[in-house]
Amino acid sequence: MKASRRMLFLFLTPALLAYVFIYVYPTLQTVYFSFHRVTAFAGGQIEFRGLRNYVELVRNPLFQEPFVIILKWWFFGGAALFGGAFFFTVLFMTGVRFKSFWRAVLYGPNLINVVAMTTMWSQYIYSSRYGLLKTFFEAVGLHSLARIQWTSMDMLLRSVLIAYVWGSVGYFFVFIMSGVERIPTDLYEAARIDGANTVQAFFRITLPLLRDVLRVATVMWSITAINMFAFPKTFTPVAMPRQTTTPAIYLYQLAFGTTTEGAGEFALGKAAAGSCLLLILVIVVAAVIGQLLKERREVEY
Amino acid sequence: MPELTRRGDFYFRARRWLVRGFAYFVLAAWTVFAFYAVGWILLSSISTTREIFSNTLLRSGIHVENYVKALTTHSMGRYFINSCVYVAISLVFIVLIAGPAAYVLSRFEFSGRKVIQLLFVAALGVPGMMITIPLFMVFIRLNLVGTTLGLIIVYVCTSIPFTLYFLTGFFGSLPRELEESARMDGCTDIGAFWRIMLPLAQPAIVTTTIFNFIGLWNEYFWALIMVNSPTRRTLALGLQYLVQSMRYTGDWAGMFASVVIVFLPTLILYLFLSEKIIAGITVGAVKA
Repeated sequence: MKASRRMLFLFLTPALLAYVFIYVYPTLQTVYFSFHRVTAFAGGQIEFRGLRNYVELVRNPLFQEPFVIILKWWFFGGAALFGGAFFFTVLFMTGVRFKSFWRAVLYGPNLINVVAMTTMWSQYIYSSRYGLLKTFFEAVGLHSLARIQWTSMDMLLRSVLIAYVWGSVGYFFVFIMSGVERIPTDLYEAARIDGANTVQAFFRITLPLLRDVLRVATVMWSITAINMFAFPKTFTPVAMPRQTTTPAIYLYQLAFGTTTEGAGEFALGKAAAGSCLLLILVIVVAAVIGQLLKERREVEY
Repeated sequence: MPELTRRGDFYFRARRWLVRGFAYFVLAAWTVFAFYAVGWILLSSISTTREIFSNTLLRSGIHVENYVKALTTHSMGRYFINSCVYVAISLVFIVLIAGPAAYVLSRFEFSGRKVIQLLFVAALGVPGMMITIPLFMVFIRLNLVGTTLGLIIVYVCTSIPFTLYFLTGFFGSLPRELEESARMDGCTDIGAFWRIMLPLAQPAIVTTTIFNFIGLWNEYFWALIMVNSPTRRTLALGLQYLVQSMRYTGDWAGMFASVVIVFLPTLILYLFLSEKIIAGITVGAVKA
């Protein structure tokens, strides 16, 4: 159907203006800043410095470390999230009852405010004085486990990841489960008649037919991981340890001067350069995953 | 299920029961953990700090004063109102801007339509830091840093891509005859939108608004950058500063009461709307 020009203009303009204001202009400006020395947020000087922001940033171990951390976060967190989501999917396929209740419980933590969530874990569950894990392991007599200092620096990344996965696995589970539920049930019946068990049915039927859902889920997870900010940031509210400093946290600190490195005359330009690198990473990762899990139409139901 | 009559039927069934029992065990354990953790937070929020540290919750009765203290001394009452204002106003403008745009993008053919849709989807992948520095500069120039209006502008603009994406899918699924009959009855195309399409889209608008509410209520990054001052903070920021100050105040009971104040609104919402919320996520999966 054709729309009147007046309606197109009236209905689209506000959304497009908002888009240009919040995405287009700032993105272009950040790209511009990434090649410059920008001395202050307001009233500063701007001076061209070519690729030096990028070169200095990439050579800086303080910028490299966060990428190692986010790689671990992406890989181990992703393995746990997708593994967990599939694990629960298989559990649901065994014919348990009260599915909507279990699903609501699994998804629930996604609604909890990130600060409330990290506070619950860091101040209660992981507490070395009255923590849930400590009192539980003591009650069942596993004293070596009860002594674990979950928030100590050598354990921190693992602990934050466990808390994160616990809170997010329900989201990926619901997402993947919804894909599974759309697979025709007669496929499973045919497989059962042929003598396949639940596990075989899962690998032969479920997984191949989930390609599209999996592609979207892995792209979403990768983007989430690359931009990881609030969860690790609020987990340690007093001081940000290097063990859980992600690229986004590092760039935030650089731009807003909450670290010794920040607020320097090159900080804003470098933060802009780092942001561009994150965006490039997002684009590359999305393209690679899209290519690896390309839509395949020869699958027959 | 039809009775299986082949040999090994007994083992087959026994294993099925074993597997199902295992499934129940895992799901129940997960549920107990979740309820125990949240339940402990609730109980600790009405106990004293001393009881929290000695694992003797509720020994001296119920202490509602933790909440009074959290709301007044720790300013959580003020932050609660701040969050309500930021979120409520944003939600209205998000629908007012994204609704009409989603409508024309999903139901009319015009050049550039596909490009615009793609642009909005692409925005979902843009890292926050990519837009933060220039945006902060603009807000300084406009005197919007640390203001209610400033944060609302950011919330509205950044929520449009998701809302648009969600509503476009819904509008596209409505039958074509609707506008045609509206036009026969003498409605203008804009009139048809307000009088017929928008009321029909109510379920989808409610669902996106629930999602936007949850997203904005729990938002952290933009609040941290835009309204990080003792009077303008959001609830989430307020809680974080409270946790930071625990070393000096030592009021753990008040802190856990504040945790409850932060998560209770979404938790209550979830008790009533969990089915609708979960169904909303699966829409995204189906469209994939």
